[in-house]
Amino acid sequence: MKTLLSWLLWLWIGLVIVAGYALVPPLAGFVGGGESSRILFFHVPMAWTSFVAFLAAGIWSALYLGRKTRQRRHDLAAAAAVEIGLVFCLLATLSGAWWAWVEWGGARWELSAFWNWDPRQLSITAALIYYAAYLALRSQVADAEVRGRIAGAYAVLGLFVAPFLFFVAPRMATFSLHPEPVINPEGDVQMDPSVLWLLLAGSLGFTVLFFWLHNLATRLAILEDRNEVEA
Amino acid sequence: MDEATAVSQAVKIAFAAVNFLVWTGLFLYLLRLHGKVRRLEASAGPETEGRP
Repeated sequence: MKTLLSWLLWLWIGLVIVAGYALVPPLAGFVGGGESSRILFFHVPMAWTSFVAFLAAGIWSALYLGRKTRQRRHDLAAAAAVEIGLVFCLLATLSGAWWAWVEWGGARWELSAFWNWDPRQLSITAALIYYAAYLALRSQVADAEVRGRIAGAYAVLGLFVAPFLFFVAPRMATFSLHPEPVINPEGDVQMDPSVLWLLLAGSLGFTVLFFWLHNLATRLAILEDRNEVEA
Repeated sequence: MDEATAVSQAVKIAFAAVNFLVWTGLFLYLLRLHGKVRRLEASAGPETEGRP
């Protein structure tokens, strides 16, 4: 059954890839006759998945901090969620920089062509730093119990920081290079229905992929933890 | 179909094919890892079985 679900996920994301290139028309207003807009179907779901991962880390940390729900596996699950979330966040940042190079930087080989000080570029970098600091914090505390509590409190704080950085801060700015129909101060999403549905399908596929990766990473962390305790 | 459109179509197909291959490679690796984790859990005993 689980294997069947895995193959369904393979098919789902495979169809998103094919549809992203073949079914959805190029969007007007993007360079290359609108073809550069196709990166949306990967860039946006990756950013979304990193947000889901950071929220999940906060929830598992809250479970670890709760007196009745405290289990070592919740702390390990939170750490695994942050690790995978950082990978997705980094991929979203890099794919965004690549897109910025094509779209706003005129494909010039200069650093300024990749980095435009756009509010969304700044906020995702802040999220990267915040959660990289979580891992740095974990690495500096030797005692597992103390590490779990401190890192847990930090990740629970992230339940407020992540929504602010992903959704509030970019909309507070009066100017953004990001496409207006995707991100605007009113929070409206105005885009072609085929683009919107494919973005939602991609985000769903990537979210399921995250939970699969997370399941494996946490189970491996539990095994490793058990080996350390026994050693 | 003019030459520019044909090139654009070919580039699009190439991008889609590379994306699809990368995804399939990652997927097969994850399936293999899944089996490995199950075997490790089985050899470690019942306490670490199941989703955390």
